[in-house]
Amino acid sequence: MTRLLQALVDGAGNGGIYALVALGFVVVFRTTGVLHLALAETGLVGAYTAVVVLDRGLPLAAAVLAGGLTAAALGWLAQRTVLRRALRSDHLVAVLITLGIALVLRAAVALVFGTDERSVRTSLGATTWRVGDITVWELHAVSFVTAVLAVAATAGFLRWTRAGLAGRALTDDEPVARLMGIGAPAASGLAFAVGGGLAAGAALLSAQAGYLGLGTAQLGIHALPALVIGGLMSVRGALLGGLLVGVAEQLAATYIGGELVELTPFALLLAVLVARPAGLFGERRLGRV
Amino acid sequence: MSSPVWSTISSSTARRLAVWAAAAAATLAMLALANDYWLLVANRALVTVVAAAGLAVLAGTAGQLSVAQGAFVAVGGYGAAVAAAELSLPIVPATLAAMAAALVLSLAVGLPALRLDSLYLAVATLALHVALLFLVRQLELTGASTGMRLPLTSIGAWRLDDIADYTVLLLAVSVAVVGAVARLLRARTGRALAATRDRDLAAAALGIDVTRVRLLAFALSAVLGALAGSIDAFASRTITPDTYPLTLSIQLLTVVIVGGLGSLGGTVVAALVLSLVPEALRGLTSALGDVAPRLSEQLLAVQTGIYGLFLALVLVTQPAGLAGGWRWLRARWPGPPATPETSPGLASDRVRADHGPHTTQEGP
Repeated sequence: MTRLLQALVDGAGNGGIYALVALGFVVVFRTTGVLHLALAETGLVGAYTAVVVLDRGLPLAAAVLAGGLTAAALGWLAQRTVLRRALRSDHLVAVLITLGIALVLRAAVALVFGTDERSVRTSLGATTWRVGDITVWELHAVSFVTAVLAVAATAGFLRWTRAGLAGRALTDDEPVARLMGIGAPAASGLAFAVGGGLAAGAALLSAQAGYLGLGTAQLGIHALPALVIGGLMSVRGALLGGLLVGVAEQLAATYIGGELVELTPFALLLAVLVARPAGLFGERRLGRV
Repeated sequence: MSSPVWSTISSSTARRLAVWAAAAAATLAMLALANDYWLLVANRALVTVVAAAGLAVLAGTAGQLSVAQGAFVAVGGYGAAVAAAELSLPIVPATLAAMAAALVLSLAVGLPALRLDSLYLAVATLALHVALLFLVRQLELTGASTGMRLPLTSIGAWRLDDIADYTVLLLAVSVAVVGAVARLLRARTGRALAATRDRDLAAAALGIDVTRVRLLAFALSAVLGALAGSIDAFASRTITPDTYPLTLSIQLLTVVIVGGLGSLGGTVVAALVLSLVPEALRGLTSALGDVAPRLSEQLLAVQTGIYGLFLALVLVTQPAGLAGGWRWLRARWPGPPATPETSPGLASDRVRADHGPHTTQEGP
């Protein structure tokens, strides 16, 4: 029983990180209809920036801010320069451009920082609490809470602010929304920026577990099943999907172990898609004939 | 007044023959003059051509975004290796066995996956690659993490001992494959594929079995990928799980996109050009040597980065890829009237060169 609870707790922590990345994907996808394949890499750049700031001796808060802003700026820049034309015409082309950006960012990181992993040690990663028989890592708690807060904030923003309403209008029917004066480019830029910030947060949190390296960008691959399970456009789905993937992974690691654990997110994805082809909270989109 | 003989050969056919003749002459010259290193490069380029041609059918014409081509290349390589090791098959039956395995796998995966939206298909095919790599690492049959060695082999009496032998083989195979695929795309099947990409509901209304056509494209791409992988494995003589990373699928997709979705010719050119990128990079790093030591350390990452740069650049400036650029050029230099391209898709892009003083007399 203890093992189960421990796995659930750890899984929720990891799941929080996946949820943050998935949320980043959702925010971008909802606003632009594009799967932002460079999201994880953008977050990675942000995380590296934060680490550089930390190295200078500045406090954690400053590092987080610097990292988040860098990633946000990077995302915004990508949208403004490279993706602008493609976003208006062909979404597939835009997705592929983000792929290109992802590869370029990886190369840039490799050139500047090398491919070795950097160890990142802050108090966040080391503190644990004992609750009964279970060990709760402070890191996991923070990840979980951050994910929930981020999701709540995003949902709230979409629901209760004018900008959020504009965003929802864009998602529902872009041509009509634009005719009504809603600026799609600005919204897209913001979406990419927010996505970048979220990804940076996720990458930083993931790094607290010990190290930061090109492998951290694998978060993107882990978050994709979470994203699809939740339903591509659903903010709640991102949270639930992330948590499910995190928990499933941890359960597999505890009870099965070995390399099979890597396949767990995809197996879960398959199971969900068979039952609900649009994901848990997704809606089947009706296509135009 | 044109002579009766020439009048039966249209200008476009004559041009095509000229291009093929030039290509043949160039390749013969290369074979005679090149050293082993460049032949190795050529081999790699030709393997890419075959694998990319398969993907071109699927991604370019049928419009299905598959990230699995690398997986099928792996099936080809490992299938051939296992066939050679366990059953002592020479290259031809081993390749056929590997291609059959790829066919079965593509049908098994394709039937459920191709019904999904293209995004879901991409994720599903990614999962396929991950699962395949995992499987290969676990089984003793496939050499686990250390990989497998392939024996020297032969086709009938022709012993494939040197790199040059494989260059000849690959040249023959790639020409055959590209020719066959081109013919397929011009025929009814090709048009059906294009129709399902453009307007699948309309295609279905016209009586085209969309699922079957997509499955066909998927299977074809898998089989060609396996063909490429198998020959490559025999040529390289050693394969490991690292020979087929996830980035392989992405590189192949890059080739198809840079070439221009829907254009087989563009894909072939892109495959050849992008295969030279690692070589150019290597030359660059040895030239820059001391100035940028990091560059040579991170060669692989930078290589992938350059692919990405190519991809982004091409897509930003000319989303229709090299093929689109070619059409753009042809539009600006009106030469002899161009016979409309018979490749399907992108009808709006067809260029009619103006009928000026260069009009050729066709017919008696």
